[in-house]
Amino acid sequence: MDLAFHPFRPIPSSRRRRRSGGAIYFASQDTPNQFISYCYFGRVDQNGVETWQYQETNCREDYAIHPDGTIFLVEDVFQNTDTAVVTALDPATGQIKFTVTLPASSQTTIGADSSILFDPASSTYGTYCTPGTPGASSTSPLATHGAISISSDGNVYIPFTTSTGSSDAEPCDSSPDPDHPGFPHRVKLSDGTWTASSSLQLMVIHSDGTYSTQQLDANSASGTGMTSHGAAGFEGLGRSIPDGQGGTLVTVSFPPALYHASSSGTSKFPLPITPPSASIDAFAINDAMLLGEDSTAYLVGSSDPQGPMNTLLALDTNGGAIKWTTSPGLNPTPSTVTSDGSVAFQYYSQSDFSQHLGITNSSGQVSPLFANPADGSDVGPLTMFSREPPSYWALGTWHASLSDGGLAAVTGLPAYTAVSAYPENKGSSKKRKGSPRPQIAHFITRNPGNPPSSFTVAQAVNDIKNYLSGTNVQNAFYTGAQGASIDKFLKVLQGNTSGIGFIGDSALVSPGPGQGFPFSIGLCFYPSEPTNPPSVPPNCLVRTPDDSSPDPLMHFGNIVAGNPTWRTTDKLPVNLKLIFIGSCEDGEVFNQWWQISNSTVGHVLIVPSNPTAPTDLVAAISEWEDIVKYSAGSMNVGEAITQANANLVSQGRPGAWKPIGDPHVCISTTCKKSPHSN
Amino acid sequence: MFASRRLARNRLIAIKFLLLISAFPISVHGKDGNTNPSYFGEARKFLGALYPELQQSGLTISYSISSPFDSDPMPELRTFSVLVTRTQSVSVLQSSVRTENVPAQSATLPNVNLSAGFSYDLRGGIVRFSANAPWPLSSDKNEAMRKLIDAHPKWSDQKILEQLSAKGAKFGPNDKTALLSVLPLERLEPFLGKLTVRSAEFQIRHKQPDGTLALLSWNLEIEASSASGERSSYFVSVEPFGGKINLLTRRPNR
Repeated sequence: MDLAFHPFRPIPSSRRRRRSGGAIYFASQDTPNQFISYCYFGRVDQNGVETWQYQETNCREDYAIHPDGTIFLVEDVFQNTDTAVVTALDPATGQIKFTVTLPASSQTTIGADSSILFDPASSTYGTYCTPGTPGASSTSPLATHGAISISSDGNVYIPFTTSTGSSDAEPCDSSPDPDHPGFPHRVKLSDGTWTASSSLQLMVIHSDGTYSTQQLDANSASGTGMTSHGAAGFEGLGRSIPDGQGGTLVTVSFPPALYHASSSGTSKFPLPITPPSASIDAFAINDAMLLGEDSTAYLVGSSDPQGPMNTLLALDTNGGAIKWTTSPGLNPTPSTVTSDGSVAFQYYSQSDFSQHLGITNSSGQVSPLFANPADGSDVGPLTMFSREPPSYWALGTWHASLSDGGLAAVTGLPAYTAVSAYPENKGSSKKRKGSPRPQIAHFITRNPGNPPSSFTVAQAVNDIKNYLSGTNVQNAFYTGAQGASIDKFLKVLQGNTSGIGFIGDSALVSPGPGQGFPFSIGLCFYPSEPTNPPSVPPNCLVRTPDDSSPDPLMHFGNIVAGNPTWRTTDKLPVNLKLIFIGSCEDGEVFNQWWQISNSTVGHVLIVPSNPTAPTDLVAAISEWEDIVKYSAGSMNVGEAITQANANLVSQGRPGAWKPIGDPHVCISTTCKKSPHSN
Repeated sequence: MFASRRLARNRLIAIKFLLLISAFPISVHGKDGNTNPSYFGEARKFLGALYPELQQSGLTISYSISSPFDSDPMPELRTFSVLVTRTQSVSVLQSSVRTENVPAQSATLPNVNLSAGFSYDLRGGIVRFSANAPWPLSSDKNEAMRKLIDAHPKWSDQKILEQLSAKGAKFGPNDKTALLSVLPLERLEPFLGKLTVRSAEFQIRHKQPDGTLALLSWNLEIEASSASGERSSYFVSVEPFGGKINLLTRRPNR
């Protein structure tokens, strides 16, 4: 069987699969399956062997990836039945874990108290008034629904509509019709009554397959006569996206509105633009709504309900106030909301018939995403046809399509992706249609106990893993035995991880008797979990000395020269929001190395409060556990430090930690961010 | 003059003292002169309850605590470590943490070198306990097994469990009932309150973006109820070779 891997429909491998080196993909096959479909999902392992296939009913399934790796699909005409089903697939086996059938789109009962009868005298059928006749009921089981998303706590959201209608011939004249012997009177157009109602609802599916529904809106109509009936209804459901606070946002094309559903109720905000429907081919479409910080939603739509998409709009989801609108060109496709309220997007310009990359500032003013610094002109890349908007990686680098179909990494101005529940196209950089999860790196380079064997690295890993198991944090541990090296440390510092914690030894400089306290110039790593005393010299990453500096504390060049396993660096790359240091004597020389000061915005360095005291590394573990746990909840990092310090006191542990930089940093989408932070 | 953190530790301006006692609890006096709970004595009893194998003659328990010399007031003595060794003689109060205990040369009694750490709260409740020792905790076997697994990232879970069993582990993932039956919960209740095991799960490996990390631990959630009805939750880690608790951490109330 030949496989044709669809170039435009990559499915991100789940967390579980990526950890084991495999990949999950969407593919087509040259012979149809049992459902007369040419498409399936598959998985290959790290050796390239296909380990499972899931045969699809058609080739347009919407998808989302649960934090535990479960793949959720929305399958219309599921296995050629007339139903729409949400399917949960086990990422390890491709087997169905459970299904949830979406409610039928409509139920109608028409013609109650009437009968269609054949009159042989005239050889015609007619509708006659026959009180007591139940009428004809029909159901359209195939659901009308929008697209799905998954919140960081694993709830799956999908909007849908239902409608009901009925007509009743009464009041009508059921007496014998003298003009048609043997028949009652015909039902006249003015006879009878009708009712119709529609509702907009949200289904929330939980990890175990249970679900609930919440009505967001409803409308109804009724009247007399048999000629007209119907309610306004709800047309064009978009993708519901999580709001990070346990609720969700969903757009409707007609009547154009944004709904904000939460446990306390639903808010409806009418829109001056018509947002698009997500139901045409939800698998491949780009998102029409992203969520920024401070609960601002960024939507695209058309200013003319009959016209093309041409408008980008920012709206406060708490009160519905529209912050700004802009019409940069046709088909604006949002890519990423940044922490300062800017939105990067792709749009089509009719002036040169090309796709451009733009970015709005927080006021809606548009400029090129990549601008010539000399005159601000757009330097591209321009493309003729690009379905995917650029995606942000890190450190100002974007991945963007080129005109020849290639992919480029393009460097622009540094930016930080907004900390929200849905800041990027398809949810997050993982494109799993779900909220991003904080990724935390734990570097534990020596046994924290004193003596070391009283509390080992393995016990620290086990304790941290368990303590954070109730959060949505993704943990990566780096120990001596598992790659806690200088290179790995530097790589993590430059990556997309939310935060990093270092618990281990300092590289110390001792000024000599009477000349001050020892102070740290760097961090040490061991090729294996160290013995006491170390059997091998540590590999220390230290600040580059400056023996000509007016600051005598920087005069440690001869010391570095005498330690061949030490490596120097002028500056440490700081891309992460949160950096925690649990080592000893971290004073000004060490802290300034990070280039984070109290005027720094968006980053926070957490160091022991007392720079001249030894650090209890078991206390550092406790402090770090608490900071991550509280930051993964609703606290910003500064609040988390305060609480963690208080917990240390109650535990009788020595030490306290302080923030340098921006204590208002958030790593969780549920964090209540201070307005003072970007 | 310049050193890594560990090498500099010996020159830290700090007071470190070591108490060597044999078999009797002591009272500890805090900074305000009031008698604190006898944390040291409680720790020794706790170890005895956890590891009844230690209830034999010829063992020494030593206590270690350190703080910055300029701490004012002195820290409360609620966080400390202990070392249990088999020594030939028990004698003096030493002034350095670097003791050189001489293991007994015995053909029948196992060597003992148990390190443990304790943290207590102000009311005398255990906040964190950890311990490691070749005997009776099999820490060396478990550590060697973890290194072996980390060196073979392609091993399946089944292969790991076969290796674990071959190395002598008695309590694998299929031995939950047996494990729970050997846990010294009744002996711990005087320290923690009435105990109920809420969950027990065997952890083989932690999976992360670029590989796996061996854990090889039974992880238990245990609920403790005091006589006054106060409830606490503990995370307890148990090693699979002998079913010994080697980590206990009180979790914040949820």
